[in-house]
Amino acid sequence: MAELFTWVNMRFLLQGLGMTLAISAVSILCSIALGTVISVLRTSKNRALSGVATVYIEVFKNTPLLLWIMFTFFVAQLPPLGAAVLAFTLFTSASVAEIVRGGLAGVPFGQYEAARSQGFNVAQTYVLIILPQALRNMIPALLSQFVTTVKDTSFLWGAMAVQELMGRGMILMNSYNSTEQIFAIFGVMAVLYFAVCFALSQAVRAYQRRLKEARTR
Amino acid sequence: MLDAFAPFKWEALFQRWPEILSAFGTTVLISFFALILALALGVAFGVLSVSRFAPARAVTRVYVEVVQNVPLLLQAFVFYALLPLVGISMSTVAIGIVAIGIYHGGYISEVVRSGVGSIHRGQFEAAKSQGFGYWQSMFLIILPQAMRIILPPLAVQAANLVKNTSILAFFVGGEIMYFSNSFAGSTSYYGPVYVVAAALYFIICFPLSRLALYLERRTRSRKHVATGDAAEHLAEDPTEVTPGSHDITGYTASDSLAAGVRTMHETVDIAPPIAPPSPRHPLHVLADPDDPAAARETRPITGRRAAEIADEIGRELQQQIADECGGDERCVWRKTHTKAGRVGAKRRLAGRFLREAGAGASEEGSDRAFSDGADSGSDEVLGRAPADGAGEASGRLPASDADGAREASDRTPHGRRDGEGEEE
Repeated sequence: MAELFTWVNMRFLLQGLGMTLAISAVSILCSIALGTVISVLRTSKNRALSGVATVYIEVFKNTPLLLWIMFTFFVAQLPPLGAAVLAFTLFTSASVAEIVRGGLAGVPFGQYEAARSQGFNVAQTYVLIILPQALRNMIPALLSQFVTTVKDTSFLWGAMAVQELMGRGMILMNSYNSTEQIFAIFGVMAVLYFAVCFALSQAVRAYQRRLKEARTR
Repeated sequence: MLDAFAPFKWEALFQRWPEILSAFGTTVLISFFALILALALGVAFGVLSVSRFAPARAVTRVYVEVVQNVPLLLQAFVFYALLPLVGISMSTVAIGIVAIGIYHGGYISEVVRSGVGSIHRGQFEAAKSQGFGYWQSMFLIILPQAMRIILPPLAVQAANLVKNTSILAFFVGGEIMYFSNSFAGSTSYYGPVYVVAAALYFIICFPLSRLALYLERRTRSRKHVATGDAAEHLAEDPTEVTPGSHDITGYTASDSLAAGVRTMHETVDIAPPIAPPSPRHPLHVLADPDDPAAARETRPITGRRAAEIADEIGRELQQQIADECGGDERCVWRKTHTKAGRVGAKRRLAGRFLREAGAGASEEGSDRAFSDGADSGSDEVLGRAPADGAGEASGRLPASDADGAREASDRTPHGRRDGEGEEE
């Protein structure tokens, strides 16, 4: 047992966790950009554009992520990391588009009118008035989405051998073969995932409580 | 990239259609039984999580948190790789059913908890006063009512569950994803098989998410026949949340995340506060003109009287439109079916109120409102007046103000929130 819990092994796992978080963070940032575009297209007056956006959302919402990971890796023939980020971005941006739409809809129209009446032009109104408020509303949902993404990065090892936390754990399990050691490695992986995701979920909850208090005050 | 979809590759794929079908069957089978397990666990833990017995609540809390914050793949891995080490082995199909069932059981338990939490405590009390015990009132009184709230996110969860069966590809699960990978691996014809797999998942999940949307809307549109004040409050609240939106899917899930408020993480009190009737409720417009005091308070008129008033107004407006058009079908259609027509109708409505209620002081405004044609700019009368229903404005302001509020709520920057959005 002692030879398992060495600093080298733990660092090995923690680096995997770093990889997991890095992939998730990049994917989420790309998804926010793409998702915003899609959500704008979705509400556009042009039927063709909004149709495309709707189809995009429906397709990615109703098919598994693993499929898109495979698709970007094998069919589009991208290198593993690129394939991973692309697959996550495509898949997550469909959800983010809906979050953005919801966030914008949650800002009362009066805010828009008030800003316009104060002499802001449309772009200024959106950038300075509407989006900051919408973002505040969207943050909990985006964080939840981040949790989902972190959990889903565990597919990457099995699909294309990206060495994130899951992969590092598996590699470690290959070199230790007593039952207790395997259980221990597994436990460490589970605890690491749990710590990250639980902390984020708690942050979501705390933030929501604050939002709610601010609203009822 | 394009030759990834060469015709002979499609041919090679479709020569193996019996295997595709059986893989599809396996996916459906696993999903079905996993869903049953998840429902059983979800209802059991959901009910326990609102019990008065603290240890039961603690157990459900731990279950839900662990299941939601550890990747599904890792959980399935317990059954696939760890349990055999201590002498428990299962077939892959069984692993799929159990692991996915337990995973989604955690999510469904939160859905059930929110649903039960949305039912007013009065329902418990009423059931108790009628001699029902705790479990009886839970299963006979509370849960059936909570179904309205529970069903939409449940359908979302079902779709997620089907999507999650794809992880069995890592465990030689024999379902669609596994078939796709092994076909792609053995023939190196990558393109077609993933497209077909996507289509197969889509035809299961799309109806489920549509069902979720439909149920959600039905719940919303029936809010006034809701049982109990709490449910009313829940449906009326624009920042309402769909429980189960943690895995975000579904329009309403996002809509309800609009204000970013409560996802399923939040603790739901058994009795949310009773909300005052929404100022946007259409019946606020119809303050009784016979009773100035009531009009001042903009107390809603409800029930039969409201229906009568609405009916009367409707008939009058119809008559008015018919008079203006003088039997021209197209003209009538334009005034009843187009946006400009609707704006005009609102004006007529406002004008009618000004005439009826606004004696003396508001007479002038009435004329303006009424003579303003149906097709010109929009906001003259609507929503400009401040909301002080006092004094001379008794009859006049409530009408135009409430109208304006609704108009504004229809024009949120990004599409309409309720009902007939453009996502149809």
